[in-house]
This record gives sequence, structure tokens and C-alpha cells, in this order.
Amino acid sequence: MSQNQAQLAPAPAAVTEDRRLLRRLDRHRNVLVPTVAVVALVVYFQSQTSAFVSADSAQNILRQMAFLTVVALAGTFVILIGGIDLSVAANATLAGILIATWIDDFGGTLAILLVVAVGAVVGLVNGLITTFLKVPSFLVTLGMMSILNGISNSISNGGPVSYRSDLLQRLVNESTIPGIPNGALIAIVLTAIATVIAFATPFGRHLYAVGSNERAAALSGVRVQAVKLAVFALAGAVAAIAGIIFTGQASTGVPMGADPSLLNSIAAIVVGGTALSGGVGGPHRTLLGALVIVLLSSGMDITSVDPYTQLIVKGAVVIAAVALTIDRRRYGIIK
Amino acid sequence: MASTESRIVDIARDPSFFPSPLSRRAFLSVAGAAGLAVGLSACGDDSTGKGKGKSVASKSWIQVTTLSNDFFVAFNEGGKQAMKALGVEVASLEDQGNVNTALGQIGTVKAAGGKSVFGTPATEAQAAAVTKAAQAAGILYASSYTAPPWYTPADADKWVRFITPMSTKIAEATARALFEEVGGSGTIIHVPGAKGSSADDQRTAGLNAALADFPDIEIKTASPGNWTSEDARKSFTNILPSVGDFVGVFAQNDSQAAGVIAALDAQGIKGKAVTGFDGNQQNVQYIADGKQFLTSATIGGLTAGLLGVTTFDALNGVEFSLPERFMAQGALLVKPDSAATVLDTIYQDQLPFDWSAMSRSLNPDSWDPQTVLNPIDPEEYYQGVPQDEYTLNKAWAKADIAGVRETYDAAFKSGPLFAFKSELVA
Repeated sequence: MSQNQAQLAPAPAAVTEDRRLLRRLDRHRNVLVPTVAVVALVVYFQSQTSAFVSADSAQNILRQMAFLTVVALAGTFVILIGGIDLSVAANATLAGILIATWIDDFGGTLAILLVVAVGAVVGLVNGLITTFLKVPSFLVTLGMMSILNGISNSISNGGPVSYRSDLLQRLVNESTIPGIPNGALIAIVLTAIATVIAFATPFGRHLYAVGSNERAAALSGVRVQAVKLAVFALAGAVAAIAGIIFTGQASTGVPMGADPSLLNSIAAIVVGGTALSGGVGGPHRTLLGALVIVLLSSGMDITSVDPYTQLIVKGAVVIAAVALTIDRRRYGIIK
Repeated sequence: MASTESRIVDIARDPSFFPSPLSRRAFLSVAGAAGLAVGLSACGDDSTGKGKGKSVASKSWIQVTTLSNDFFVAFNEGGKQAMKALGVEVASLEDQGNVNTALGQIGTVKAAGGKSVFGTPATEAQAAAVTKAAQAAGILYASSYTAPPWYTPADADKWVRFITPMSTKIAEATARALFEEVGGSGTIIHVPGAKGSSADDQRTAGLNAALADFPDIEIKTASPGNWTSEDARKSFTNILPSVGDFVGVFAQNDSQAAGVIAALDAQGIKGKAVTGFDGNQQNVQYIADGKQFLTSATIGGLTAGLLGVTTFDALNGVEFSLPERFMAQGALLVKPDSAATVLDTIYQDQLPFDWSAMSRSLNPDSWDPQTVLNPIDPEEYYQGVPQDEYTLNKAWAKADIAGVRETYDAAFKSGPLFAFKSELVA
């Protein structure tokens, strides 16, 4: 037995090398796992139907990814500081209704600026209540979600809001770069900007500091309340951009339109590897997470997977992705 | 005693089993990957039987809000049965009422080489968005129930047909039957659907139209039931203390009627006449059991089948005139005296309709819609609704609505609903 073991056991140097490689892979697994998942999904669905890797399919996936990425980006910032914003989708819905209502009257540029400003103000209100009244962000944004939906429905009277301007069509659906819908381009550019902000600016470092340990950040001189307010306002503004993309894609203002995407946006954030506990992750990961979610949905639709099975698969993939990307060293106990 | 998880991890780390024992984290990562693999492998469990290499050229797609609701399940099943009868491959899409998902699915159909989708959008806004997306993608689209006011198939040539029950007329007939059942006097609790829904507005309008002839009926309106059993149960329960005695309940759909019946059962209240809308099988059974007084059955599966056959015909060269593309489907008022018969003859696992007979392309001279289909006059249908979002397309000025009505009336000559032809409300 011991002789067999000796024959099977690799040389100590090889074991060390293997472990070093594993450690190196482990260090980057938060990005590697979603990337591998994206590749695996593409390969798998292509093996099921040749239509999956096609220009039409790619454009469809990019279109779906555009809105989901931007609304998830909005949520990512708040999650990075250890909070959560459940009102991002409702904020996007309101923005979508407002842009449809205002674009013909105010003109495209002014309407977009106003809508983004309204979104930022909504986010700021979330931040003020969370920061100064010390109400948990979960509860504040849950309440705000209901308020915003009420306002959206009041403005639209619960029905579609049509508009004549073709600006959103050009801005969102047409392709400045051939093959890439402008909406997807906006999402990619926003992700790049957000990633630079997160990793290459003092604000970004402060954001992670607050998310990792708020008290330690405060003791280190970080203006925690200002960071939180800025993050919530930023999240609101980005959610408004998501709403504009949504209305552009739907060609009409849709009451409650963006709301059902809230859970998908949170799934995109966590599948990407951003920890709900704050301080870990980043906007670039959200882009990957959104891509996984959209690839999965689109792939299962195009291969005609039964809708009941789709629910099981989506749940299994989210759990598996989190199991793979979660950094257990940050948790003493997992509940 | 060691947990199962610990023992599994210990085995994974045992050098006698593996030459390079895994760390606990590495093992958990591998286990996670296995979960992902299991998830992906389930994708291969394709209950609709589609496989690699099959042509999707003639395949059709059914888009529904959810498959966790009686109506949508029946709609989906009817669509599948009709397409199977025509030899057309079909797949289901569940959009969860998410417009973003619904639009993505239209893109998916296009990417898959699909040429047709039929379904039932959740809201007017979704109907507008999906119709425009299908038009832009060049995919034939047929839909039911919900359409944006004054926006008709004349505005989108790929929107081949819209079929809906005439909510106002059916609601008026339902309300009249209810008022007569309770003796023409007393308090009726009205449980509306969802605010902002045209179907809800039309059903309320029908109720009010009937009310004009029954001065001794008093209506107490509860909060919206949002088309669900649970919300209706809550809104009905909440209004009860302020109502006092009442004689009946006008619930704006069958799911809501089921919620009301649950609340009545929970409180031990008996002898109240409850009406619903849609003809869900459960509610027809309630009527047979004496728990509900009436529902109006348009039979969602039949609607889906009619839409599916329409896309099949359109793809096979049939050109439908404008009035044929905007139609009302007959609804059967099911009461206690007819519920058992209706259950036996219509609510079968396999719907008893001759789908092939409906096809104009298969039976150019002898097609039969198997139900009442009346062309809708948009001026009448959208009467009182402002035209600020959409205006009626000028093509309607030349539409021969009366001629199409006669043609379809003459064509309906068989099927399980033929015995009820004169009773169908459309």
C-alpha cells in the first residue's frame, strides 16, 4: 500500500508548482469564473444550435445586455459601499416614462439632462435618508421603489407613453460601430468609466474603504457621509441612463417596465463576483455578470429549453457562480 | 460525529484517493463548477424535443407572461396542440411580464431564424413594444387580449392578427345575469382588476352599463385585485367590514373570483353569487360545485390556436383583410346549468377543436373558425378613449367590417361550441 502511494504521489517540486498555479488562479477566480462561464455558455449553446453564434444572435445579446448592465452598474456602486439600492429599477422605470413624456416637448438633449438629474436627485434622497436619518439602505430604497412606481404610474396613467422623436432610436438602437448597437456601446463605455473611477481615483479608493470597514475608513480621514451621498446620487443618475436605454429599446414609455429586472440586476452583480457585503468587486465584474445572465437566458430560449427547466437552471447557475466566486476569507461565519 | 460535507471534503483531500490532494477551497470551487455543469447539462433536457440540426424555418413560438397561471398554461397548451396538428414545431417563451425579456425573446426568435410568434402580452405598453419589435425584426406576430388604444394591425403589417374577447359586452352580460340572479336589488361588491389596464376599464364600463337598468343595485368597489387571487382576497376581505350585508360579488377575472371564494370560505359566508371572467377550468368547476355563479369562457387555448393557425396561414400565403386582423372572439357565459356539460365537452386535456379545419391555407373553400369571430370596429371598441397616443389609421375607412362579419358567421358551422353559437357573446 505504502509502495503504491509512493508510486502515485507526484514529486514534491511538482506539487509545489501545482499549488503555486492553483494559488495564482485562486487569486483571480472572481474574474476567471464568470469569464470561463461566458466561454462555456457560448460553446455549449453553439453545440446545440448553430444559430447561437450569429450576427443576429450577437446583436440580440448585446441589446439585452445594454440595459441590464447599466441598471446593474447603478446597483454595484451602492453594494460596493456595503449598502443596497432596491430602487434602481424603479428609478429606471421613472426615467423611461419621463424621457418619453418630455422628449417631444423639451428636445432630446434637455430632456435627457433633466431625466438624469431627476435620477440623481432620487439617489441623493436615498443617500440623505440613509446617511443622516440612519435608516438602513435596504428599507429606504424598498420604500423609494414603491414611491417611484406610484409616480411613474400616475404620470403615465398606467398605460404606454408614446413619443415621435427618433433621437432614442438613433441613440440606443442604431449602430455607430457596425454590429454593436449604440445601447451596448453606452453600457461598455459607462462600465469603463466606472471601472476607472473605482480603481484609479481617490474617490474609488474611498468607496472601497467605506465598503470594507466604515469605521476604519472614518478613522483614516475618509469623509464617509460624503462618499455615501455621492455614491447614491451616482447610482440614481446611472439608473436614469438605464431607463433611457430601456425606453429607446421598447420604443415607448412602459410603466413598471424596468422593475422586473431588479432581481436580474442583483444576480448580475453577484454572479460577476461583487460581494453583497461590500468592499469587494467592481463595475467590470458586473459587465461579465450581466453577460452571463443574458447569455444564459438567450441561449436557453434559442435552444427551446422548457420554461420550467429554465427557472431551475438559472437558480443553479447563480448559486454555483456565487459558490465559486465568494471570498470565504472575508466571512467568519456563513449564515 | 463528522458531517457528510466534512467526510466528502476529507475524501477529496485523502492522498490515497487523489495523487494531488485538493485544498478545501479548491474542492469547493470544483464542487461549484460541478453545479454549473449540472445546470448546463439540464439545458439539454429539452422537453419540446428540439435538437441540433433540425430546421427552424417553420418553427413558431408562443410568448406568455408566465406558466404559473391557469389562463397562460391553457393558452400555451392550446397553441401547442394547434401547431402540432398542423405539423409545425413550436416552443414556449415565458417573459414574466418583463418587457426587456420580451423584447430580447423577439430578438432570439429572429436569431434562431424564426418567422412567427404568437402570444398574449401582459400590458398595453408591452403589446406596443413587442409589436414594434416584431415589425422591426420582420417576424409575423399575432396577439390577444391587450393592445394599445387606437393602435391596430393597420399600423404594423407584420402584426397579422389581434383577437380579444369583447370585455365591455361580456361584462355587461355578466353583470345583467348577476343582477337578475340576486333579484334585482341589494349590494354587490365590485373587485376591479389592475389600474391602467384597458381590459379592466372595459369590464368596469360593462358593469356600469348594466347598472343603469337596475336602480336597486348598489355597488361597493374594493381596491384593485391586480388580476391575482391573493390581492383580490385581501382587497375583498378589507372592504367587508364597511359593506355590511351584500348579495353578490362582481370579480373582474376568475383568479380574483377564486380569491373572493377563498375569503368567503374562510369566513364561513355562504349563499353569495360570485361572478368571474375568462373561464378558467378551476372556476368552471367551482360553478359546477355551486361555489361560483358565472364565468365567461373564451377558452384561452382556443384563442392561442386561432392565433397560431393565423401565423401558419400567413406564412403559407393567405392574405387577411384588415377587419379579419382585428377580431372579437365569442365568449360563452357558463352558469350552473351548463357548467358540467362545458367541463365534459370542452375542458379536455386535448382541446376538442379541429385545428386543421380552421386553416384557410389548408381549406381555402371550407375553413371553419370553430367559434364566433366578429370583426371589431375600432371606432366602437375605443369609443370614449382619447386618441392622444395613437390615432386611428386611415385604412379603416375602406374596411368592409360587415362583409367580414357575414363571412365568418357563415364559416362557423362545426365544433364543440357550435351548439352554443347563439349564446356566444362577441
